[in-house]
Amino acid sequence: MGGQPKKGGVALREKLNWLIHMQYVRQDYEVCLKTIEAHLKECRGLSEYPLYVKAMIKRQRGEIVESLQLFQAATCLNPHNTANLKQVGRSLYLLGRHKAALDVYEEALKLGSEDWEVWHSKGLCNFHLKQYDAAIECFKRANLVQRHDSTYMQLGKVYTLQEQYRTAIEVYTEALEFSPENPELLTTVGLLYLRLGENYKAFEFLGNSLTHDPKNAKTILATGSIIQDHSDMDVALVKYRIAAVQTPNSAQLWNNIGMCFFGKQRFVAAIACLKRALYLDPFEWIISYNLGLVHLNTGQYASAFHYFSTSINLKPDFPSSYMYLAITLSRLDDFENACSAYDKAIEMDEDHLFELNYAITLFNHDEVQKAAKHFAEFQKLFSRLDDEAKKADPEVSEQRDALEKALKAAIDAPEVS
Amino acid sequence: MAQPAPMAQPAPVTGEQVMAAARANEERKARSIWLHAWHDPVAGLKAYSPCVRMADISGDRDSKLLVAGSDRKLKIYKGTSLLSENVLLDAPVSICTFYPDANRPKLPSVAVAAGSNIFIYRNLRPYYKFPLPTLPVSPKEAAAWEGMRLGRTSIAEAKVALAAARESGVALTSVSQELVAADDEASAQQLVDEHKDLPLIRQTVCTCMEVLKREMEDEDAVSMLVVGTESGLALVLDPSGSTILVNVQLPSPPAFMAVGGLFTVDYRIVCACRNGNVYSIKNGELSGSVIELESMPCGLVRLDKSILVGCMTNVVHSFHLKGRKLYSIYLPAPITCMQLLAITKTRSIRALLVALSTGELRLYNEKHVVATLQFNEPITAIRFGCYGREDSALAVVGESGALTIKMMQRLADLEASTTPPGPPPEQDVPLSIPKKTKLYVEQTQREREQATEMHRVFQRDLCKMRLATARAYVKIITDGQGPMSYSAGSALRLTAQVQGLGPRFKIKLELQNSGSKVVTDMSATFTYNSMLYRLKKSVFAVPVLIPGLCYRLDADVEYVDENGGGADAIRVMVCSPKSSLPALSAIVNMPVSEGLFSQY
Repeated sequence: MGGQPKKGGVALREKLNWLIHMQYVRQDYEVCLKTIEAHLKECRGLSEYPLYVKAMIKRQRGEIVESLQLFQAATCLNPHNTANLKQVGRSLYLLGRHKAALDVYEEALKLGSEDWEVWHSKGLCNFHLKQYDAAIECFKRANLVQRHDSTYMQLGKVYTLQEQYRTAIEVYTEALEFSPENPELLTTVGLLYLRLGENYKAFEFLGNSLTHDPKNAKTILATGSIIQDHSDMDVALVKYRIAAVQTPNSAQLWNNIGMCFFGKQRFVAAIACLKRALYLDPFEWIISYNLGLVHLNTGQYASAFHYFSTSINLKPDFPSSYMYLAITLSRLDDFENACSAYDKAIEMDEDHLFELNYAITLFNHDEVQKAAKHFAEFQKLFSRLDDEAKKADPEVSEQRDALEKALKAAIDAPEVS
Repeated sequence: MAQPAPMAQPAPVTGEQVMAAARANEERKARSIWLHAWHDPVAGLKAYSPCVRMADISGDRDSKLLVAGSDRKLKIYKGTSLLSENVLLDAPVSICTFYPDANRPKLPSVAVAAGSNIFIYRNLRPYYKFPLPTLPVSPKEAAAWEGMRLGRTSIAEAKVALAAARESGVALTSVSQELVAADDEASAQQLVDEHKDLPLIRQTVCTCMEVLKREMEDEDAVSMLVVGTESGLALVLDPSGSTILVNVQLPSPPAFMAVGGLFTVDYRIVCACRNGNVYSIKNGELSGSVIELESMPCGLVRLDKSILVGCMTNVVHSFHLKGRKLYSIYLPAPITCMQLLAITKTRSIRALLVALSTGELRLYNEKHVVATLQFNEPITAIRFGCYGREDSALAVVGESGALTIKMMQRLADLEASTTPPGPPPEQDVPLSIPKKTKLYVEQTQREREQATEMHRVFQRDLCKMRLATARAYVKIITDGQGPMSYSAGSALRLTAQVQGLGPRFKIKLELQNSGSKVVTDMSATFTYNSMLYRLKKSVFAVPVLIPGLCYRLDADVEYVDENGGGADAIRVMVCSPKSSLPALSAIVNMPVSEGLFSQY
């Protein structure tokens, strides 16, 4: 080839395209860039495909602006290639210029490349522009051209954001019919069921996902939390071991591990794990809340007070934190503040536990009348619960009976003046 | 409880031990399938899978390994030695061996696709060169050159015409592309002089090549070449490799092809193209069903009725020939090579070999992993076939150019169990729970006993600290010691900056009224060590401060100490006539002054 007199030394610009493509799809980016650079030098930067691939690699590495310029250069060399146009759209999308990207995709559609990718990308742009209905329309059209897991994922995401969980689950279920073993899809469905409170179904999907991808930390965490909810701490801990190897720096993971140990009454280990979690994510309120619970259990009320107040500072709208803060304060003999914390909790939400604990605290501080009032409130709320909820915590009934007896005795007894 | 509690294990096992045991187990499993045959770490091969083939090229029932490297050398291995090394004319894209006729002894020809030609070797001697067909040249382009040849149009005009043609979507020949791109007149002139009397040719190059059997399935039956080109053509050549029998235009250049069937009966060519789509050609017709992938295909294998496509998103999709998706295999790392493993003689097995960028080589039967081989470098090429007298051999080329040959155990159990694999080995790695010291436990004991007291002391001290902080804050905002002033409903802000190296400096002040009222009658002044500094003007009248605007004042400072080297802070104060205290102040830390050589 080289130096053939017939060609007068003009090299074919497409000559190395196959090699560039091969190295690109192998994700051998270093080698590929070397080949491209050498080739571009030879043809003075005027070869479409190497420019295109170079732009793709640059974008992969996060140099989006530079890649956009390269795509535009490639488009200059061949203005009729819709592949370039689509990539320009993709780069604009990644730069957050969704409107501009939409225009480019419209252009691509006009040039007659009506394919899955264009519709899918249009859907993504609309999704980020918060035009959810348009996004849904685009994703549906993309699926009409050809079905893809990623389109289903995005469609489901749009529905989830709109809080149409049932529709989202329907979409995911349809996707699972198409590719039943996609662990990502299975996990997403599982998490969605978890959100809807259908733990059994969630567990089924998450378990299924784990058989296909047993090392996915996100799935393990979700599965583990369900197992934990069923008080099967040891099994949950074994699951968490896998996640601990994959993501040793996950605050959520260490939080859950800590609560497993708490469930097993191993308080020192629980505190150690929770503190590691808190170190990893100091602004996660639930870790502080959990640490408060553990310290309350071990009788370290001064520490418990700090953790509960941190938790309330981070998330002021969680009523149970106030109740536990109140309990802690009453143990610290700060009756006044304890009462206001109880009031705050009760003001935020109706819960029989708030009333019961308040009544106990009041009774312990000889406020018998007020205690009786809150106890009556508790009885009212408690009787509304279904049987299963009533039996869920035997300690509640125990305390109720004890308080009832004590209240009766106090009211019946003559007032000591 | 089936699983022992993590902390109750008597013998402490480290994570490394557990993982090492798991790896050893995996290796044992792989050994029960693959026998190690030969490893040459310095073979120096630089080739991708299409350039590695196995064939009985000498007809002695001793199959050889052919590797066409990017160093333009065709190396042929026999057993554990290099049999011959031939120099190629161009960097190879793909090599194939095919049987051009049914004459005995049956000797295959070797076809090397390189650039725009396919070189066919017989008995390892150059035999024939098949140039890929040239592409039509557009009339616009031809007219432009004709004009130049006859001298009717100038080069500049022709360039404009060619550029316009390209704009309108015409594919130009490489000479025209070069001409349009030429920046200076001299090189353009030279290009035109060289080319104007030559016929215009638009060439294409080969991108992939495979082999299709003509009428019989036998190993040594007559076969023909199938070639994919950069212009998006799929060509089927006749067995001698001299004429084109079938010519199909694809929408995009094919990157990988998988061929199946018999040419005279029923055949199908599946092409994974560069636009990310998979097209199939059935008996010379492009079929309508197109598989659009989420990402670029990086490997293509055909298994009987299904197509396996590896994608850049680390997944292998299996499609039915008609385009319906069957299943997907999700992989932990990028795919570098995919190859078919087919055993036909002793038993019938068709499985998939996938090499990952981690150097892992996995063998899949359907969607289940049967064995995993771990190499210590990424793999660039794999080929499974007959080598030597062994029917099922595997050749692997690593990134460093090392060549490894493995053989499959005759009785290897490739039936993957359908039961899901057990828990991953990580499950036995104990959790690293942070240790707590004895001191900590003692302290918790103390807290338990004296929690109330601790809490009270803390609350009291906290109150004290808050009070102290608040007092300090009030003091700062009222006594004019800070850069902010809130007196009389106005909020002033002062920033000071020093410029210069010395002995002359400039202090730049910026005053801003961030309140809502206009402030008047302010003045700025400086206190400084007069032994060290001298100011031309030490009192400035501050103009009316309108809310929101930024006022700049410059004060010239001169360093006057003869000894030099000293520095002191200068205090800037903004005062109002209403109060004896300054409204606000700032401290400028002066840098050490550079001395002047000649004192004036």
